[in-house]
Amino acid sequence: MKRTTLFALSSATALAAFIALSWPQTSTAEPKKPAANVPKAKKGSPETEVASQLDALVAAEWATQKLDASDLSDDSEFLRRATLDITGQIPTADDARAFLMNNDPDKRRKKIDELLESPLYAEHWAFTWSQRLLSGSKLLQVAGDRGGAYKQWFRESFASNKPYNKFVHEIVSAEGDSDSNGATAWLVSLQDAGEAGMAASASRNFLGVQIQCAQCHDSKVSDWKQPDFWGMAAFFVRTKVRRIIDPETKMPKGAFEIIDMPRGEVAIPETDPPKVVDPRFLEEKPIPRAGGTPRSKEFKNPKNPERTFIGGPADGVERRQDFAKWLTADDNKWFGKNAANWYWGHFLGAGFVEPLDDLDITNPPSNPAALDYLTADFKANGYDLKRMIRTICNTKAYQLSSKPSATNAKDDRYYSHGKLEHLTPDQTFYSLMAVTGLENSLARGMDRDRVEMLKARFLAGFVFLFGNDEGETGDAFNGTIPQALVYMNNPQIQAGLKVGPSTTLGKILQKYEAVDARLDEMYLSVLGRFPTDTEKKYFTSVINKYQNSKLIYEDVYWALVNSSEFQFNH
Amino acid sequence: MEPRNCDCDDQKPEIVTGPIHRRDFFKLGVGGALSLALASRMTSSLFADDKKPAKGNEKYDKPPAQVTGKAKSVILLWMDGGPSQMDTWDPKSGINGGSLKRIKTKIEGCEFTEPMAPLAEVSDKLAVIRSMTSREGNHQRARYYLHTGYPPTGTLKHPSVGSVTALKKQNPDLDLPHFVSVNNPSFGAGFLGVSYGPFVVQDPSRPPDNVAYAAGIDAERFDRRMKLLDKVDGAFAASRGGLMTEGKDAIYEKSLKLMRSPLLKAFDISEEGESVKKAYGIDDGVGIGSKNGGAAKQGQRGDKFGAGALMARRLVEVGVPFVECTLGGWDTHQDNFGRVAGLAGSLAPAYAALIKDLEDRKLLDSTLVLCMGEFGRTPRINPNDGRDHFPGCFSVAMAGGGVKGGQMIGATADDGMTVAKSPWTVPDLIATICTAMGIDHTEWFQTPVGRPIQISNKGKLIEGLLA
Repeated sequence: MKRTTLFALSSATALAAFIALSWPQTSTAEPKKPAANVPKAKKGSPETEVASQLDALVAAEWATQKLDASDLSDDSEFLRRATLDITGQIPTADDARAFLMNNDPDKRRKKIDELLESPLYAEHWAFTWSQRLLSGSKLLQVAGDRGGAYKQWFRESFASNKPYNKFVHEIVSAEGDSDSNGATAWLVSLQDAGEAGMAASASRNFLGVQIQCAQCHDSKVSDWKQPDFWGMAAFFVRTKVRRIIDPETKMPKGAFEIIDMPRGEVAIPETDPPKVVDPRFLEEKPIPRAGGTPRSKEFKNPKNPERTFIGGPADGVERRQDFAKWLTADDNKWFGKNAANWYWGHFLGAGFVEPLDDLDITNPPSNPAALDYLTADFKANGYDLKRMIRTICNTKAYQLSSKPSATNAKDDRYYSHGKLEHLTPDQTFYSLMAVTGLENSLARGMDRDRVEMLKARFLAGFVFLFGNDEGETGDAFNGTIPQALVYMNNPQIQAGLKVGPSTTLGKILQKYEAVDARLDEMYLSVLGRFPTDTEKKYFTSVINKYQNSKLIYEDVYWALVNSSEFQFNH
Repeated sequence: MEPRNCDCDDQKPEIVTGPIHRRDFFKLGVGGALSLALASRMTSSLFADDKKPAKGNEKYDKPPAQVTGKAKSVILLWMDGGPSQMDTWDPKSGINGGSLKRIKTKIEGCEFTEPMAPLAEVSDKLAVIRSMTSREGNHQRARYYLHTGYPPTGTLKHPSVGSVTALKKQNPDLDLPHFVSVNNPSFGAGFLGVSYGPFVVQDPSRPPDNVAYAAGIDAERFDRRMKLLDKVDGAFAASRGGLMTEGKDAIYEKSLKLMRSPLLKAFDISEEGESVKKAYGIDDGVGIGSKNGGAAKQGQRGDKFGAGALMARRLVEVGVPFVECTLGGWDTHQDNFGRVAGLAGSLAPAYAALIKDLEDRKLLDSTLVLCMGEFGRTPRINPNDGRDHFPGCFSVAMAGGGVKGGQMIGATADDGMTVAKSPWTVPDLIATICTAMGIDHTEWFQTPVGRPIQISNKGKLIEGLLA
């Protein structure tokens, strides 16, 4: 393959020669050394040790890049970030107070463990992964009234800490129907996209390989050729997603079933005669078709020139199962690395490789040794996702303050300061639920199912309104006017920010009399910290000026919820 | 034929000077390995302004071609579900013809069906393209295709033409959103970024969501809140600083401007007289917005559509460049003729009223009003007296905005099964809308992963359509 020549060229002389040409944008870019100093991953080594090793690798890069790292985050910053990242919502006032008052030097490590055991962990990660894998219209259909099975499956996968290789294997090899096997959701969501969409999605999400350009022509940005793409699609061409028809009414039931046919070949669209492609794993030789070549009369389908499916002889090979096995095997060079890069990027704000889903040879990691080490530890320890999160969250790199130092404000690749990110739609929703106490209000006089249904509907609205379109990266604010208007004026949220019998603010005023105690609790509820002396002095004077009225508390509370500090994960 | 599912750039590598995107870099084929070292740095610096293509690349630096479109605004009447062309714009005799009566129009040799009569009256303003053709016969895929010019790929979200318009027709003096969608979320800005996405009005009978002060809040109290917010934000911005906090402040400022804009009343159709409302097919307001107004579903739908069309006119009047307004229910697999008659009964008066109203206000020349759905329906009538999905032939109608009215473009065969004359594709349609708006549809955008994307997906201007 050409990519080997690419490596061969990568000699120090060539690099030096090129750098000498003084590329205008690259004065600070150093050639990446081969990942020589990767520590050896061991099964069962404590996560904190792995974290220190990662920190050493990250710190080496700071030196190379001449960056000073920011200070370690303070306790409130750490608690808020970790709680949002692991459980998808802000800490409660009680959590924040307890953590801030705790003098145990090991409290951060213990908190990470505690958050990972929270039921909210499974809830948040089920949501995160279903958003990631099931985008598009079918999600809504599957997630509608009949979405129980898939939601349940994702939730249970994370609650039981299912090994990641098993998790993906179950998704890709799923059989049966969407009511009884929630793992079918990914295939169902790709019904319209067909074998090409399945191949593209599997490649991108599970391998971090952007092969989709080769769908229509040999890629010009990487080495992928059309047969690479269609060779992968050949593993999915026999898989059909059908709506289940009720035998009595003859109407669709709303559930879907996955059917694998014993035959079926894929041809490159608009080739004449159709060019049938053998299945092939990435960078491997084509696998000969067990049943031989399809008869030529099956090739022609003049009515449908873009049709890619060709009958062919039945050989009964379950190709999709073969693919799932290859995909999740230990010697797959992309699979574990892609997951490690994605998780690291998710927690740190940027992957070692960016974009997160593009591990192409032409897009090298910012710190290959660190990525290789995290990957190796992940694989050596049975693809344990909680372990990976525990490791990442225990790194100093993760725990740095988001306050930049004099030199590192512009750094967005070497982890010299904490991240500043928009809350995701579910983080926004659940955090707003908490600061308003809306769930309590809903729960009054309503049964649990109805509360859940209303919540789901409300959450869907947030996903629509706060969901960023793909590829939103960089350090610019991507908020919109409709989003700001929700915070400022939305009637339901505004009702929840008032002093009422079941609102969070109402309860604070009930529980505490003194102005400064109330301010403490308001800050802890919304921002997870105590107010500074300056803040306390200022807001106390404002509150006194308005005779301690409940309206002024509402105004202050509104301001806290509308602040950058609340709306960002920092 | 255009390639299926493909939007990749098939241009040859170009000679490039100055900083470029890493993807382009690899296309050069020079110094392959050297690039390994540089890629990360380049990616990070280039992602910082991912909306803007890299400078120094001929493709992106090429000044937009001078496009002399007359239109300042587009109103897209979106017929969701796939309207039956043979029972509206392109009726046929014979076995596939169906039961709706055909009537003459002011265009020679061009008939509509009877429920479209109000449109026949203004057909001297209309150009009816009868030879649209596509391959996307699935609702969701086709909706995406008709809104963006690209079939969905699953890996890249393309901007809808409304978002492209919002980006290219930015007007800093206009406090209102530049892309408004009524009765339907429409399609977003994709890789252009959420700020160019549609501002959705769910119910045209009341003000847009979350724009009014919450209960118990007035301007004075709101000011107080904003002042307190400044105080809270001050310290955070001082320590974190940067584009994120500044961007958030800017969005809040814009939102406040919108809330307090005198133009906001453009969203309020209650200011219109009864006769105007009636002309748009809004009965008496009973149906719209009220869940138990007693009106039949169809009637509610029609009212909401008429109200949306009227809102569209009011928005265009104050300078909003793109308004989409949806009439749903066209997926007529059963009872096609009864249902189409009802739907056309909602569409025709509102569309005709909109054309006349814009003309009276001297806005028709500067407003392109087009009517389309995601595909056509089968000429053959199915056993349920319905018609099924048929992307092979469908019709699009346009008026105003420099469109030469009183004409038919293209034709379908007598049985309706094929395009008989001058087929036009969806990318052609997008190219034509852009051109009418004075937007260079051949311009290249760069996606966050550096793939160059042409606005119109290489469409061609529909010949003879624009005057």
